[in-house]
Amino acid sequence: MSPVRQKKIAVFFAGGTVFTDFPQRTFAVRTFEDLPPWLERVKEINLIAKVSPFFIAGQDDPFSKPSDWDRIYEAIANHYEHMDGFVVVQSPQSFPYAPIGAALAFQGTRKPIVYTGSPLPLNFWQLPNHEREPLLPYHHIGLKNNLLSAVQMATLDIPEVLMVLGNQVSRAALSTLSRGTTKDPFSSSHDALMGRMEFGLKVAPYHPASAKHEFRIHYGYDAKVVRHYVSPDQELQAFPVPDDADGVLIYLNTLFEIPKHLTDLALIWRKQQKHVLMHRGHVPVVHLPQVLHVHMMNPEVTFMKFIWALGQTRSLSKLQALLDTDVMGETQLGGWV
Amino acid sequence: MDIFVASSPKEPYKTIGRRIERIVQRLGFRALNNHSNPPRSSEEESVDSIKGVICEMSEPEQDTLYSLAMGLMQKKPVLYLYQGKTAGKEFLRNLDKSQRDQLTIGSYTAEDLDGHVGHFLTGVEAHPEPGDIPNIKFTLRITKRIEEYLAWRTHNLPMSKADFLRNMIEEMMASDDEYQRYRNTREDEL
Repeated sequence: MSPVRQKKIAVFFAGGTVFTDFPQRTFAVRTFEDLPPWLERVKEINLIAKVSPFFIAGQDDPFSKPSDWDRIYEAIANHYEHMDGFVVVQSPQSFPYAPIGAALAFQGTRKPIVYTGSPLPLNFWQLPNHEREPLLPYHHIGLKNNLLSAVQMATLDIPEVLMVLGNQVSRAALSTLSRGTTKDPFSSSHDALMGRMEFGLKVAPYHPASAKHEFRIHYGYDAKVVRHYVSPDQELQAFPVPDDADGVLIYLNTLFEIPKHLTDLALIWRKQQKHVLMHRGHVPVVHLPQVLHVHMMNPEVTFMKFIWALGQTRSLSKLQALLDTDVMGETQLGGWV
Repeated sequence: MDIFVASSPKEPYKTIGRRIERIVQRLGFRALNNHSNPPRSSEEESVDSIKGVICEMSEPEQDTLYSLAMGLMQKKPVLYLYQGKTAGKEFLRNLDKSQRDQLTIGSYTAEDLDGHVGHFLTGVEAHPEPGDIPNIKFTLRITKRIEEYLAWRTHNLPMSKADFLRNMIEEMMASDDEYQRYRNTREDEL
């Protein structure tokens, strides 16, 4: 038997590490010291790859803001040349935002970057039934399975940022949070679904979502963006925007015209040196002067791309150009999937 | 019962994988494999429905290794098949003892492949569920009189004192209606 060349996969731990085991115990990585015994319980991953673990943040550490995730992007950047693929274990509460941030940060990546994580809390078995019930599918599918599948995906030559969650593998940039009743936390268009985990891992033939860009790394998600959703039946009142906000993102939903109140507010925010981005789905919005616009893009991608762009420039024209540039097939989607 | 058959996509191993599937089906099991077109309904091939895994490892690919790792992680019985005399041992050095204990390893030829698979599937049918394996260590201090009774009671029985106690507790569990109601409630919750 000829030995298989094992690929080198870096696994970054940043929360989302809770799994359960018989009989009703939970395990998590809270400190660096928890890492070796935790990995001992998923030692099967060593059969499919040479795994290098890196501790970024513990289970209980605050790690929910885009600026926190820069630590992961920096760690990936530092090891990019020496590894064949990357796995990030992080709380799915930050999905798909954190994976989208990675897809923007590693534009034209040649190597897979795969996100997975567990939504289970440490006190899973102590939760009352009504709180535990929605989490049971994750208990059943299990982080261990998902981690094994994520490492497997990272060994495949799929040069994209992917999410392994529930029982499916999806492209980060083409996924959006579910707004219907479904057991999968993300709605994925047909193009977004890369594979499904059953006992085996069924991977779809790979088709790039967009023309490949030259590889470049740019992260830096320090800009503060506040979001407001506007619906037709909503009475427009003052939208709170803190003084330290760098940008305001307005989701217009199905509105065909921008309400007058909002137009006035946008001008006030511009005078306060805040950039304003109007988002709508399939129909282009009427362009207002001094205001940025996007359509045909997921709400989550729009949010992360706005922060990403603000991290590179504050010029209105350059911001609009960055928002319009297709990085990963994200500009062809439509607003609400 | 479902059996997952994993083999390399290269020939001749893919054909051998198909032959293993036919043997599995002939013996009354449903055979699933790692070559099916993706993605399918998740109901078809759930982790729980798979009762055993057969891996053709003569020339392992990334996908066969994944199936092997998944089988080990899920504590399924795994048949590790390879052709030749020493080929498999090189790879098996990567496994630790507990993982090797989970494997049934067999070097096969075209003539004895049916026998390897048949023997493994006989074991799968008798394989206990993970919750039924006595793997929790429990220290119990007992009096000299109890020890004397256990020794006397098991003297002519084909079981150890530990087996005798385990069986006694199993019988108590089975006849304890209150406990059975509790178990049913918990299973409904899960």
